[in-house]
Amino acid sequence: MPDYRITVRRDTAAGWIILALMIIIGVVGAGFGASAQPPPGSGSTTATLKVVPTMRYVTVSPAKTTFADCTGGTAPFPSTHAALGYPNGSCSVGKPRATWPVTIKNGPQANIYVQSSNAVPSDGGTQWVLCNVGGRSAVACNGRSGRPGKDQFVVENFSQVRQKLSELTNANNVCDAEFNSSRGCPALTGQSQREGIVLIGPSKSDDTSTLWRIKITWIAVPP
Amino acid sequence: MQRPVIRIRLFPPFQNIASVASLSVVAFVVFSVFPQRSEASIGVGVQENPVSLATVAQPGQSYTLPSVHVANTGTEGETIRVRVERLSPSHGRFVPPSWIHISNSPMRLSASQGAQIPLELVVPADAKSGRYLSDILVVGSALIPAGSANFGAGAATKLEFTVAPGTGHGLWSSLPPWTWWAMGILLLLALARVAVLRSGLRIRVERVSANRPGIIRSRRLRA
Repeated sequence: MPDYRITVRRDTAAGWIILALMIIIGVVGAGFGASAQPPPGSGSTTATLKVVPTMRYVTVSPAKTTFADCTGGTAPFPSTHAALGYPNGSCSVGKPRATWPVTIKNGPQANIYVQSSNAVPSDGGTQWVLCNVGGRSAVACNGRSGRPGKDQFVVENFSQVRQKLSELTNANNVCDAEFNSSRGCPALTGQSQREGIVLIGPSKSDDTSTLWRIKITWIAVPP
Repeated sequence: MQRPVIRIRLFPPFQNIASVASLSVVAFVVFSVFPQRSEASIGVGVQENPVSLATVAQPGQSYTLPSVHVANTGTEGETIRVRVERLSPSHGRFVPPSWIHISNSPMRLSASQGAQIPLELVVPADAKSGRYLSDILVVGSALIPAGSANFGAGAATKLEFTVAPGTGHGLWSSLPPWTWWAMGILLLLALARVAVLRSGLRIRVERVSANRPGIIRSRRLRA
C-alpha cells in the first residue's frame, strides 16, 4: 500500500493579508450584530402624533348652474331668456362688469388651469365640439366670421378683475387667464376669484335635443 | 262674562317702531328655525408632496409607488377620478399613462372624506433610461343633470422617478433566469480560485514508493 505525504505551505505575504481582512470583517460584523440588540435594563414607549394633511386643492361654488340671459339667433329660432337660439345664440352665467356668480377658491399656492368639455345632448347623440376663434385649440371655429359653425360652440370666461372675455379650450393644461394673465396663472394661498361664463352656440345643430350639459373644470397645478 | 278688552293706541311714531320690532322678531325666529342653506361647492384635494420612487427603476420591473392621498374638499358627494397627465411645466421624459396602474379609480367620496389611492409603476423592458416626470391629476365632479353647466374641480401633484439604462436588449434580455444563476455560480468559483491562488497556499502531495525506499515520486499542486 503506497504512502502519501501532503504538505501545505504559505509562502507569500498575500495570504496573511487576506487572513487579516477576513478577521477584520468578522469582528466588524459581530460588532454590528451586537449593536442591534437593545441594552439590558432599558425600556421604551411609542408615541403617535397626528398632523394635518398638506393638500393642494381648489373649490368651486356653486357645483352647478344654468345658463340664462340668452340672446341672439334669428327667426324662426331666436333665443328666449332661458333657451339658446340659432344661429349662434348666446347664453351666460353672470354678466360682464356686473355679476360673477362662480367662485373659485385656491388652497396652497398653485397655477390655476381651466378647461371645458364638449356639449353633450340629453339623447346621447352628436355632441357640439368646443372650438376657438383665436386658434388656441386643435379645433378652429369654421362658421361665418370665425363664429362657431355646425355642431360647434365657444365658451368664454370673465372675472371681476378682468372684464375681457377669455376663450376656454378642451385641453387640461391651459391657464385660466382670469388669474394673473400677464405671466402664467399663479394663485396665491387662499386666493379666490369670482368669474362668469358666456357660451356662444352653433350655427346649426345635427342633434335636436333641447337639453345639453357642459362641464367646466378648474385645476390646481404645482407651481 | 266677557272680559274687557283694553285697546292701546300708540302714537304714530311708536306704531312704526313697534311694527319694525315685530318684523325683526319674526325674521329672527324664521332664520333661526330654518337656517339658510349655504351654496353647495365642489372641491378636490391631492397631497402636495410629489409621488416619487425612492429607488432607480429597472426596465422590465414593477414597483409599488407610495399611494396618493386624495380628498373631497367640497360640500357634496362626488366622483373622484385619478389619471396621469403632464401638466406642470418641467423638464424630463413624459410618463406614459399605461405605465401607472391606478387602483380604486373612479371612486365615490362624500363631503370632507379622504382616501388613499394605490399606485403601481410597470416599466416596460424597452423603456428609455432617464428622469421621468408627470402629474397625478385628480378630478372631482358631481352628478351631471342635463340642461345645465356643471363645474368640476381638479388638483395635481407631481409624479417623478428615474429609469436606469437597460441591462441589454435582444440576447441578454431573452435569457431565462436559470442562466443568470449558472453564470453567477461560475463567477463565484472563478473568484474563489483566484483568491486561493493569490493567498499563496501551496499544496504538495508526495508518494513514497514502497519498492524503492528513498525515492519519492512527488507532484506539486498549485491550488
